Amino acid sequence: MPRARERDVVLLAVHDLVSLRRAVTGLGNFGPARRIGVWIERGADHLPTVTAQAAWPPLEELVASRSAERFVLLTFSAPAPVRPVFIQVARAASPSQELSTGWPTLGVRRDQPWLWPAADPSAIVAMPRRLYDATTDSPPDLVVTEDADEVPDTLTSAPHPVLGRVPELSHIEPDLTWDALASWSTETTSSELRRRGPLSLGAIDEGLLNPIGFDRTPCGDPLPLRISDARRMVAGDGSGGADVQLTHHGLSEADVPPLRRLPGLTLDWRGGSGPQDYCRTVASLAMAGVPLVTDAVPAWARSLLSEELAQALVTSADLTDALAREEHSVRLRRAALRSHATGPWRRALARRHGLQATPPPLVSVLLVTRRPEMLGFALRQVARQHGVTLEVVLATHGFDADPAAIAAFQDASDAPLTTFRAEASTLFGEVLNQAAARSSGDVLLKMDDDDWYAKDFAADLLLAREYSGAEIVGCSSEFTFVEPLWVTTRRPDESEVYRPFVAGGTIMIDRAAFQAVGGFRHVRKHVDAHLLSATLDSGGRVYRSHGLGYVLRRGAQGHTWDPGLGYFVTRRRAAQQWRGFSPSVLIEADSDDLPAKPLAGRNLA
Amino acid sequence: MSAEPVRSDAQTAASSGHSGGHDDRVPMIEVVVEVDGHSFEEVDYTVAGLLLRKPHDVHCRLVGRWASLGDGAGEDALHEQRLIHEKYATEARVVLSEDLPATCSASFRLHLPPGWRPGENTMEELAKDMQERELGLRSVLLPDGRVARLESTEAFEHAERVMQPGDDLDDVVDAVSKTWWSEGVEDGFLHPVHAPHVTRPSATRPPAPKTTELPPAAPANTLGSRGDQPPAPVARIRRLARRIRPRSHDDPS
Repeated sequence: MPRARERDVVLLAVHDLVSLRRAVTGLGNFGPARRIGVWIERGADHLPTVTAQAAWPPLEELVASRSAERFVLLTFSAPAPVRPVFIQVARAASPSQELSTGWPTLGVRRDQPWLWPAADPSAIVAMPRRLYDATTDSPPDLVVTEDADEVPDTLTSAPHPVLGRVPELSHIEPDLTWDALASWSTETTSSELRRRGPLSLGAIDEGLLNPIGFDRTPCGDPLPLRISDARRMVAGDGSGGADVQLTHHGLSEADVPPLRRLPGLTLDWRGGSGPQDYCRTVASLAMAGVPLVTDAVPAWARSLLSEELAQALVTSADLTDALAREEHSVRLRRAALRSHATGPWRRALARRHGLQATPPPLVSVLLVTRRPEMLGFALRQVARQHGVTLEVVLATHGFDADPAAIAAFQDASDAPLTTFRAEASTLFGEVLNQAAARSSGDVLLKMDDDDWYAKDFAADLLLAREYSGAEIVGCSSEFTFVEPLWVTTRRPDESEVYRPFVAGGTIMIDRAAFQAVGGFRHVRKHVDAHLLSATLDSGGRVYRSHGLGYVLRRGAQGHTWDPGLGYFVTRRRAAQQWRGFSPSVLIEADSDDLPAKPLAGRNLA
Repeated sequence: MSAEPVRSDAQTAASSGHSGGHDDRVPMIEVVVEVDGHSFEEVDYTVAGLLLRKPHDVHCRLVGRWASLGDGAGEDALHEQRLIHEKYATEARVVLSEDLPATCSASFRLHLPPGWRPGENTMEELAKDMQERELGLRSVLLPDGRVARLESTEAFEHAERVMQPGDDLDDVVDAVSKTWWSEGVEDGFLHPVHAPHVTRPSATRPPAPKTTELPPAAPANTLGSRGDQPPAPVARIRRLARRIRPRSHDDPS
């Protein structure tokens, strides 16, 4: 007979995957159950199908259904622990297959679920007695609560034995209503909103609200975004577009697909239950890459949105131009992901309270060049990277680095630089491995010596790595500058998709994945293709982010891969063209790095 | 007007598909072939190919040192040009000239490297594409690295009127009209070695960007799950719970 605590079925019913990932933060310890399932009311294009874990009893049946009802049901041969199964389901709910844990450990009240951090089972979710228990071995570093005066004196009078200090309290006040805002004087409004700030929106789950699936070929006109008092968000005039009910946490992942087909949304900064509700929706839409336009951002919204996002919102963009629309989307998603996503939100809380935070990953740039004349250019492309912690390993392949170029790099960048000379006879793949062996970063980024990179190139790839969870992220060589023809071409490839190929000069790979495949193959050519296929063949994923921050340079010679210049002006490669060097505005090339125009000549033979 | 009048005979007028037999009509495309330094076979392949192709209102200008042929100088060096002259001097749609006139009476001028010829519909499609997209210059990169250039006379004349000293003419053409690069084999250019004739798709234009049609406008309340009043969540969960039938009581545990 089963023990009393064992259950036959535990079914978690959620509105959508955003709710699922928030619910998993506060799951209590159920007893074991033979059947464990999740029912999802709406959305869920991709069902969270879990991988059976060795620690669980054998799985007898796994049903994932999108037919009449959306649900996932696991049947075990013996009672299985419920919470670990739900944690895996929540992981599988995001394409990244990741949760959002990290330091500092947050404490939230069980009766304030709207403050539960998304997808964070490491959070302490409890009632005040447990949250402020001075004797517990697992106290939170920081309690996020709406009630300011609930901390017992016993806790604040002496350091906690585990923490060695008094736990920090982050007071987040309840969402404001429009009525409250209207009743305040101008000074009160401004000081009250500043006190709340962007942190008061809470973290937005980038595991579900992200640019994956961005649609480059929308139709129709931008529609106005309206949020009714009943928290019903309507895009459009009621004759089309999208009409969705906001959850307490803002946008649902199920709301995004219909919005993808629109050129964008115009904001009038009215609607919803109050300023935070509205701004949370705006930040969520921006994070998903939905193009948003507005004439101005009101002062109250400037207090609640990150400065970068507010700035991006007022950058003018012609949404009827596909390239300008995508550039605008990239600015918005970048700004929102950097400030309102789970990691940045937690780090900002840690910073405010002076607590330990999970550091962002260190990126090791691997730069190999066999062209002394490209060294200065290549190092400038690395030095201009910002918003990311970098180190650089430079291999000069068959020559000694020009000290002036090294000194110029060190003047322009704080990133540590390691330089070594590889013999000309050493195979390219081997040189790259030698560079990797000298690096210490969490991720490796292979950059080429002659291509142009936007200042946000590495930072954007890191963001894509976060929301995609892929072992390799990169972008396609969408823009090519065909130098001998003096033309910039664009191949509007699919982007923001999982695809097996990314350009060799854009490969960002996790160190663990790199080591798992044994590094680059020791070959003279196609080192990139071998690394991509080895990663895919070992079960890894490759994600292709937007291609606006990278321009492949094609010269007449000097390339390891040479399909002939004509390839670069074929219809497929050169569907869009501009005479001269004309990349995306996101490249922001420095004048020193602009190409020199070749002498006019008609034949290239 | 330095362009020579276009010779037109009954045969070309009849085969052009135009009615009325306008003897003085201007050709649509003037093809310029610079023969100096090229063999008879190369030039012949190009010119013979041109005369076969549509549009028939094409004439061909062979630029070479024709005046030097008569004086016997450079006998060997000019041997090839002499052969070309022998074959094409009397050809109605071929003009032999020493220089390239600055102006052009045709709508387009195609600079074609000897050894290459356009495919069956190549010139017609390229010209049509240039007109539709209002291109001033189409540069076609051929697999041997040489470039065929199709110039819009109107755009070049416009550019020459507005260009300033020091300007690159192609830059100005790009500014007043637009320039475009493409690949020769894809455009249908033929060469006995580099691009032997094979069947190819005839489209010349780059594929139009795909557009996704919005689905027919749905009533505002059908997106999301509320408007058409599905059963309440609790009822739906109960229904699902009924599907998850209790396990049989003879469970071994």
